[in-house]
Amino acid sequence: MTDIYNEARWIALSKLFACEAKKADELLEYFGGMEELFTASEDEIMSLDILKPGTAKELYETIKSDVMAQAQRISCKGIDFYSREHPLFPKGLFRIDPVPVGLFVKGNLPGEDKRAVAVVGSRTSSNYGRSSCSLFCNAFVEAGIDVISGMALGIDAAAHESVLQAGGPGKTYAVLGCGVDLVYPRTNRLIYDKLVERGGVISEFYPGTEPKSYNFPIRNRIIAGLSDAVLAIEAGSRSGTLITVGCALDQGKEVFALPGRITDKLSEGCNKLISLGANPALDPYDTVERIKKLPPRDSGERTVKKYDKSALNASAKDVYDNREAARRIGADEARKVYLSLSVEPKCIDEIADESGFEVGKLLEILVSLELEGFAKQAGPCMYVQCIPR
Amino acid sequence: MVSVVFSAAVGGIEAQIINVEADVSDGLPVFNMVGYLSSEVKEAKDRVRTSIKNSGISLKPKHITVNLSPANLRKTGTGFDLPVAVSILAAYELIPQDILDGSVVVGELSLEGRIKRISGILPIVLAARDKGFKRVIVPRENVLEGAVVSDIEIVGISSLGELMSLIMNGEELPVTDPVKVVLDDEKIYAEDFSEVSGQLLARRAVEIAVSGMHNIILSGPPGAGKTMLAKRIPTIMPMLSFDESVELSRIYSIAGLLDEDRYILTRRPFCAPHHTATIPSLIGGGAKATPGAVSLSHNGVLFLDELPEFGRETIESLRQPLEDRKVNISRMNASYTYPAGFMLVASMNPCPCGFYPDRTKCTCSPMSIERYKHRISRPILDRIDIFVNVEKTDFKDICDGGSGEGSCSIRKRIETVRQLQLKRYATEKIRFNSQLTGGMVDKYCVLNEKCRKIMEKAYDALQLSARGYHRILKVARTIADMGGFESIMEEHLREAIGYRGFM
Repeated sequence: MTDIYNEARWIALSKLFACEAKKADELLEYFGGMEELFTASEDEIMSLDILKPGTAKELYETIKSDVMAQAQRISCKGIDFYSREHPLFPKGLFRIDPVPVGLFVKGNLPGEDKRAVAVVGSRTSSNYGRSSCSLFCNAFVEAGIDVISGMALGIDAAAHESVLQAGGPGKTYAVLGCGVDLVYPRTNRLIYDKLVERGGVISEFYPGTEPKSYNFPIRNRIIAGLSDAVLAIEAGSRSGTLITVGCALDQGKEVFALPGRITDKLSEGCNKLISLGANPALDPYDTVERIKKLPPRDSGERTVKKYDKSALNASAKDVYDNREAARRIGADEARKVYLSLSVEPKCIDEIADESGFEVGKLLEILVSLELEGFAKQAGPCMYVQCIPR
Repeated sequence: MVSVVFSAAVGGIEAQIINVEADVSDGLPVFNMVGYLSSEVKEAKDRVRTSIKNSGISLKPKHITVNLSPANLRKTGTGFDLPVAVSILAAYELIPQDILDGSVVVGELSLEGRIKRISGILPIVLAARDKGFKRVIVPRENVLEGAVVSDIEIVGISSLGELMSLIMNGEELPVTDPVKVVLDDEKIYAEDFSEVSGQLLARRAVEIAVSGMHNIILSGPPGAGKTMLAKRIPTIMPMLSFDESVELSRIYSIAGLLDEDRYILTRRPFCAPHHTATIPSLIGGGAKATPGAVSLSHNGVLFLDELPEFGRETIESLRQPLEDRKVNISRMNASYTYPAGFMLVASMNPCPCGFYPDRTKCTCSPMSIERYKHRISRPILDRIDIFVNVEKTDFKDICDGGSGEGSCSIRKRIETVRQLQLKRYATEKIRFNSQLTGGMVDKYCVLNEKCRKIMEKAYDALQLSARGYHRILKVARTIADMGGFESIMEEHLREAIGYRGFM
């Protein structure tokens, strides 16, 4: 039954039990249905031993309140709600624990029949992490795979941003740890606006819920639940990214991790994942192929790691082909400077030492590279190498 | 009998001649002083009476009235002790009035009759000369400061007794020889740019900044040498001219910062207020409206170390002096204008710990880095033309220690570029490229077709603001001037874009 009145009741319930969907389950089971719960008498509610007296009182006030008006207010804000009884509620989420009461959505929900990958990583990120992230995301866009992430700083933002910038059919969705009407962190305002337009912002929390730190680990299970696989880009040894990966493993999803240098703090978590058996994300195109071969995410079939030996021999496309990019640069001088850049920020004095240019001239060349998209300023007079699309 | 002695009061960096009149007549023995006096001037009464007595002169008890005119101008400072004493002695006819005509007298008295140093001698002597006086009698300790000014006799006296005996014996007052001010001595600065090893980019950026008087931010990890570089910026500015030196010394004179060792400023100033500095200490103010750091660094460098640590309001108070190159300080009695034509040099770390973007060392969260950057007020960032990174020096460069180019040859180049600008802006009210306003940018920074294309691309790709656009053109103008180019070329523009802000 998905009539409007019922949906409104689900909204009311999700306001009460956002973080404890299990409680809602127990209640519905106890009363034997939504209709019965909402027509229960005060005594019945107050005598419930599964609820604390405070919550019981709130529940009673809720079932007596005008739930339709509340639902109206939410839809006026441009927020859609999909309860778990709603036909469009993502099937994959029935396999996570606990199943959310419902989802608030600004924009759209990811397509059920489309492949989706969760790209996650720490908020503190290195340039290596961000640029690899965009390599992978570009490959996902090309292959028509949705990118799901958490709209946090660092890798999350980089993932959304690279999909949004790639244009085309690429879609990206964010699962928030606060209400969908709040932009947190505020620096991601632009990403948020574009997400609403070109994908969706999703949350199980009632609109207006503040971004509390304990909400974020909870929403990670939804990120994993909406995806076919998880790609961990950068994670410290105790990063929240590992929670998402944990959820994905619980749900039987494939995990990919971007390898890093063993001395890098930010790669500790990912390297560890690989050593524990996660797929090393060595090549975006290979990763895409593997994701495409996964069974549908709501089939319930656990994915089994299969190693395709032939893939090792196949001549794959170069992952990070800066040589090819360098060939696109006309001037010899600029090409020389370009090749002495790296994905980690380098200061001009250092580049000057390597390339032998006088600093004024060098800065001039770097700016011309920057204007063409071959380099980026990472700080005052610090540059990193880029590959323009 | 009524006597008149000329003295002077300092207000702002100007001095005004004050007539000190004394009348001695029969009646009850009282000592009255009138003429809108501040308390330190009123207190002169007791100092004067005692020091006259202790100089071995006994005065008959009479009715003494002293008036300081013009009476509508508030008299402050301790320099009126000596003129009041001299004026009374003249009224008692112990000093002939004709000696005093054409002389300006200033000085503070101690109880035993010694004449002590006062601040503001330079503006007083300049005002006396401009008003046509032929002689200024000053405390001996201040004599060098006065002797810098030509075309006027400076007499240094150490005690009231000495002055009396000179006059009573009919001797000539001892005129101090004018001091020759040496401003172009190569060894004037203790520091030299050759001590900076490596730092090629920062050197280049600093040279551009000084050439066009652009404000600059040096960013870099702790210990990279930001302060060392900043301290050497005055050494590559053109040497002070005599007029500039006098203008600057005036400010130091009224701030009471001159002494016998430093009676005139021969070096361009380098002021580095601490980040806990208050607005009055930076801009000037206080009860006496003393000049602040912006004025004390006039014609030189105002260095704000650790810019994000400064209070937002403190930093924003720099907007007006940065814009007008002078500050107005209004107090109840008057408003004063002090020059404040400084070059702003600021240093900052790229993040709170200082090592960003070196992720192996930096421990800051992305949030704290953003917060750190946002601590700097935007309006001030808008007025800074050049941002440059100062990296830690390589071991190789440290070993070569001091092999870099010296201040002298850099200064020569900069002087040429400054001359070029002076010539170009002869008809405008500005002197440097950094002062170009919007309209003037269009007139003096003409872009050819290729340059326009670059700017168009940069404007979109780098999301420049209109102000940022103008800043780049101004810096490009300076870079072109340094290369001796009539018009801005693409390479100048691209280099200028490289120095744009990063926040």
